[in-house]
Amino acid sequence: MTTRSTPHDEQIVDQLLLETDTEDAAELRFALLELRSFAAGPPPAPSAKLAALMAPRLVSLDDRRKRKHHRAGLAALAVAMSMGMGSAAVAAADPGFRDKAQETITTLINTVTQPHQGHPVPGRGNGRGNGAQEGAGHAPDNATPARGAPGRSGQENAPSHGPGDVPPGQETRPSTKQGGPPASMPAGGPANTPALPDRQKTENRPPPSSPSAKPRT
Amino acid sequence: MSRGWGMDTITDDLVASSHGDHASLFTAVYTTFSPAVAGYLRAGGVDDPEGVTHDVFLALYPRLKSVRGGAQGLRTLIFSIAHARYVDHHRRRRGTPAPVEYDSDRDHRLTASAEDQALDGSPEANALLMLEELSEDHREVLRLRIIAELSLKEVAVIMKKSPGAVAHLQQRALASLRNQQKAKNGVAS
Repeated sequence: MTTRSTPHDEQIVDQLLLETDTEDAAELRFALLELRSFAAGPPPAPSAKLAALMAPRLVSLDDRRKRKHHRAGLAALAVAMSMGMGSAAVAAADPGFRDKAQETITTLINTVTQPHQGHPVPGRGNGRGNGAQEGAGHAPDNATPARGAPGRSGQENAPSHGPGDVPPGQETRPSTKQGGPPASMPAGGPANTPALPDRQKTENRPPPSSPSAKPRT
Repeated sequence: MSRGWGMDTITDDLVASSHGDHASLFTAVYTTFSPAVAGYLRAGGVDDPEGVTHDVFLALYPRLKSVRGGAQGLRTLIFSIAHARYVDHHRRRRGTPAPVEYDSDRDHRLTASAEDQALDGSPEANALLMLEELSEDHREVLRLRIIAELSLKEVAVIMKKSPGAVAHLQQRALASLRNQQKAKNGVAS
């Protein structure tokens, strides 16, 4: 009779015999090796319940719960960011908002520039310096005239002239009609400017200057 | 006693990391320890050793995360569950009347089956005959020391005895086996 004992099996049995001072008993050693044979063999086939527990699961419940909390935090942050960006975009895209903003800016600019534009300059007909300044092609940023403003010349709203285009004193002559045509309108047509003096009704009037021209100080 | 059986697969680090992939650890534990558990139950005379082995590992599964002591702690836990199942099995069997089975030895119309021929003279059959001569405590100490590969202290914890008492049981069990072998050899000679 032979036993299929491995070195490890023999090591276990020999250790027990050594502990009990019976290592010299060959028959006892052989009997214990036969008992050790119960530990050998293939694993029994798992039952259905055991097989279900051994099936790999991709995500444990704890991980899923942690990921859910993390995902909720990210979603809250994304919602807050999108709400802020959306409200800013809506405010920028709203025509009423833009009109109000433009009107506010216009009012501010008019308020700031009002004291300089409100003073009439009747005695500037001989001023070469003023003519040179105006002839530099600068025009006020806000081309919309303040209608009825005293001393506001029609030429201020009209396109500026280059140096030497206009005889001295002509550009300084105030308009007889308060509140000349807006700069957006072509001021060169005689029909558009019926109230202008004859000297201002020149057909060779240059095209209107750009709205970005610097206002006369 | 060295702890080489199954330790290559089940390491302390693997047991410590059981909080991650629980299914793969459980599979490795079952593959490593189920043969010895089934052998321990078979040597203890349990009627359905494979079914009780399944019960042992089903009871182990929810406790796998709370294992202390690394791989050897896991082994102790597994065989403590197996020992409890073994005790329950024999307690139930004592409480119920033993059914009278068909005894083929008394039926002269039959010849020896292939299984009987294979078991005759096999190491497991010889070991069962050997264990029948011992007391219940002696058998249990030898099963837990030899099949389950547990130390004296671990066996003492499982059997709820002191290590000294288990050492004494172990000594008496080996002495009985030795006398048994001597008597067998004397009769044979």
